[in-house]
Amino acid sequence: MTGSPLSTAVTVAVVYLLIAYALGGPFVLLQLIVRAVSRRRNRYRSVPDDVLASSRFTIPVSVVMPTFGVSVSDAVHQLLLLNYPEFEVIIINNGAADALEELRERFSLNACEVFYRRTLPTPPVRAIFRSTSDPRLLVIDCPGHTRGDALNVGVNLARYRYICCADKDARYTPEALLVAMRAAMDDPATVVGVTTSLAALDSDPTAGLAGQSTASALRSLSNLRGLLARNSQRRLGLSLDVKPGFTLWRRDVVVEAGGFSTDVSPERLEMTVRAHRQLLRTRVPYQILHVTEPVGAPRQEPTLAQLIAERQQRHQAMARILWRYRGMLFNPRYGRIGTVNLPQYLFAAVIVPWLELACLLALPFAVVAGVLSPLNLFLVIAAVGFGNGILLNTAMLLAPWPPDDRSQLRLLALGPFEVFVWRPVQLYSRLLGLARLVTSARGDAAA
Amino acid sequence: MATLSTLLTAALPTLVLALIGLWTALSVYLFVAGRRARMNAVIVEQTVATVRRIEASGALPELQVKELGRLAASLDKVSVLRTATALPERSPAVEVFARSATTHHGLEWFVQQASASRSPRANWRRISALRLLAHQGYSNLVPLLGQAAQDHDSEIVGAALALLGRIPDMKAADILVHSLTGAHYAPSRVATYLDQFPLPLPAQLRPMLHNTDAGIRYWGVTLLARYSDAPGLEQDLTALTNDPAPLVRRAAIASLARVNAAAAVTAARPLLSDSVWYVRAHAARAIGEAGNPEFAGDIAPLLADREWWVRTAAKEALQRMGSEVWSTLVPYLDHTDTFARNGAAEVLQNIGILDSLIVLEAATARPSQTKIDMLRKIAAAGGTRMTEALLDRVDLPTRPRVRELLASLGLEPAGASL
Repeated sequence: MTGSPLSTAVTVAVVYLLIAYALGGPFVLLQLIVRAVSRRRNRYRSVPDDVLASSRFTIPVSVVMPTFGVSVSDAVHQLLLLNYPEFEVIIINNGAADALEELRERFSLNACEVFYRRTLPTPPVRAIFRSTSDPRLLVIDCPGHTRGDALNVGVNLARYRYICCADKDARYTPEALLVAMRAAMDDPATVVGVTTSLAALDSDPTAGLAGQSTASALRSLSNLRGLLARNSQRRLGLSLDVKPGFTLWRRDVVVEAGGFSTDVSPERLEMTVRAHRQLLRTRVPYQILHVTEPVGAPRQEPTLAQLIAERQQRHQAMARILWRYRGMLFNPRYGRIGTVNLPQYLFAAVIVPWLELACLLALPFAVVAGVLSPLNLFLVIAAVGFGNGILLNTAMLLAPWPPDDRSQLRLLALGPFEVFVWRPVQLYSRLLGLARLVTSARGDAAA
Repeated sequence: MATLSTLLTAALPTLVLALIGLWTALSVYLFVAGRRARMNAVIVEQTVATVRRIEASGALPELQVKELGRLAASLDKVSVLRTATALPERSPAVEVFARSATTHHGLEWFVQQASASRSPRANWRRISALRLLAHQGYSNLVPLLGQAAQDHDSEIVGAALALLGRIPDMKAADILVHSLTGAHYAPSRVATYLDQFPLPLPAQLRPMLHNTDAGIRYWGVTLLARYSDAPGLEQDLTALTNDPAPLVRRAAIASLARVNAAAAVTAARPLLSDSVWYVRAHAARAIGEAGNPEFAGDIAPLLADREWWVRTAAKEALQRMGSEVWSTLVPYLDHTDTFARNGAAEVLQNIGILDSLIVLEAATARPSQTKIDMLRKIAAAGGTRMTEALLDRVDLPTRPRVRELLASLGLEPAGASL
């Protein structure tokens, strides 16, 4: 069968797998080593946060958090404990009576009328409550349907220049807002957005592994891979994490951009690309930064089904955003973002999943097509596994050290296997996201 | 394609071996480095805990000094540096520990670490050495920090400025002022260190008021707000409320409000009609901070300002003046501008006039017509949601009577849609 179109296709697939998976790890390691020459050792950075936390020059922030009808009083309490000199917390309750009642009781909320400027279109506000126990807390009852709706209500009512979008499913550290705002404080004239990340569980991506199941360790390894991705997201400032940390925006930029999207979720991705487009068009110097230092951790470990659903939603959103802003792709008007970064995302979000699927499906045929002997097939699989192991080891160089020898040994040993367990799950969710996007687009067209 | 396939088959074993070799080498490195890092972290943690324990032990000072000396001698130089980054702020025990460490291992080595400029990866050594020398009260520290403050690496500059901000030495203040005026680092960060400087600095900051750069005048004006008793400052700030740069006018009125509230009111009144919105907003806030309802009449027109943030500042200022502003606000309930009406109603709600009026009138059998008229005006200007919120606030026994009263005014809130 050698020389037939099938064997040619299978050979190309095997070569692609070797380049992407087996050689990808060493390539990223090499990149990191080259960068390491000029890189700082962040672990030893000493920033006097106590000074910033008590300074009257620290920029005030409006923290906005939608509730979606679930109990959030602990999350609100935690936000109010943030170590930051001046901030307000605006909670948007989407009409759920139980959640509102719980907040009213815990924070002694009093109904009041606040006249605000409706700079962004939102669903009508039903009621406004201010806490008598902590005047920094404002609760808005507004039956919005999406997170974008809720955030837009928060933007309308926000008193301060920076808006911090918080997530009810995250547990933030007391220093989280300082960590996120530090970048903006250095240059508030140009920093219009800051995205941050959450650690996997506990304080860092590899912490808390001792005594955990192999599945959890594999998931932590997958999160480690995210560290490498975040490193390459710096220019766009995109936060592609399933659960993001704080996302901060300068209010005027959000307002000028027309507010958060109500039809693309997660709205932070859409806002990032839209802000880039708008600011590049107006040729105003600006920065959207991504802070890699984790600002907290998820409240609870998501189930596999939740994780797949969230990843699928994210890939769907990314594909939709790329379609919406397709005018930016390969457009020199948008500089490096239009010519390099967005096409890179287009390739990664839309083309790579199908390519990966095709290559993986082609692999079993390699023996049938006579391209590989069974031994060579085994060697290809081994190369893919160890290449991925090198990639994950490289990511470990960027992460805080695991808490003990046993955890580290387990992570190192599982590295070569992660690609066969967790990667297919990711691929499945990506493909599902794209398939659903195509289906919904067809549905929309038919309608 | 056959060639590619043959090449692939030939190269695979070598590739796999190379990948296994690289993975193994990297894994061994990670394990060894991780282990070493964990051990170092334990040493640092234990050392800091021991310093704290010795300090809290209540033992005789001589004994404490001896114990801290033994602890410092048990560490190698690099461990001392690692510990320096984790030590708490200056305390007698930390100072003794730092002195013992530098005496035992040789002060020169630490001074050399603090002054040498190396690769960015070694920044932590320089920063740690500077911190250690600051802990031990090294006499020549300020010049070392001054040198670091001129470094090309912003991480070193930031660390040096942070340390300078805590040293009660005028030379340290001079370096900070120089850094602010020379724009060597983020001005807000340097200003923070100057604002929290342990010694009073009016003499060092005063020349900034006359700098040709408006940005520096702004910081000078803002930082001097701390020194209300500095002679002649009030006059200088008053003069700067007429500065050509709006940013300086804004800062001058805000600082003047902190230095002398009465003088700020006089200077702020003309600024209520400034052409720049944020100057008007700060002027309103400055008058509000004086808390004198006599000036409510000056602020109230700003409820109809063309800029939203000025209206908000006016509302806040009026609220600060207390319940006596109600009479000034009543005419605004009939203002042609909707936002002015809304704003006046909101202030009357927030200062408690609306609640007390409704509760008082609900308690009487024959409510006064004047008060009823006023209630009607407030409710009309505030809208349905304001009356709904009012009903929500009043206690349960009074609620039926309030509802009845509102209904009699034609303001039945129950079930009202927005």
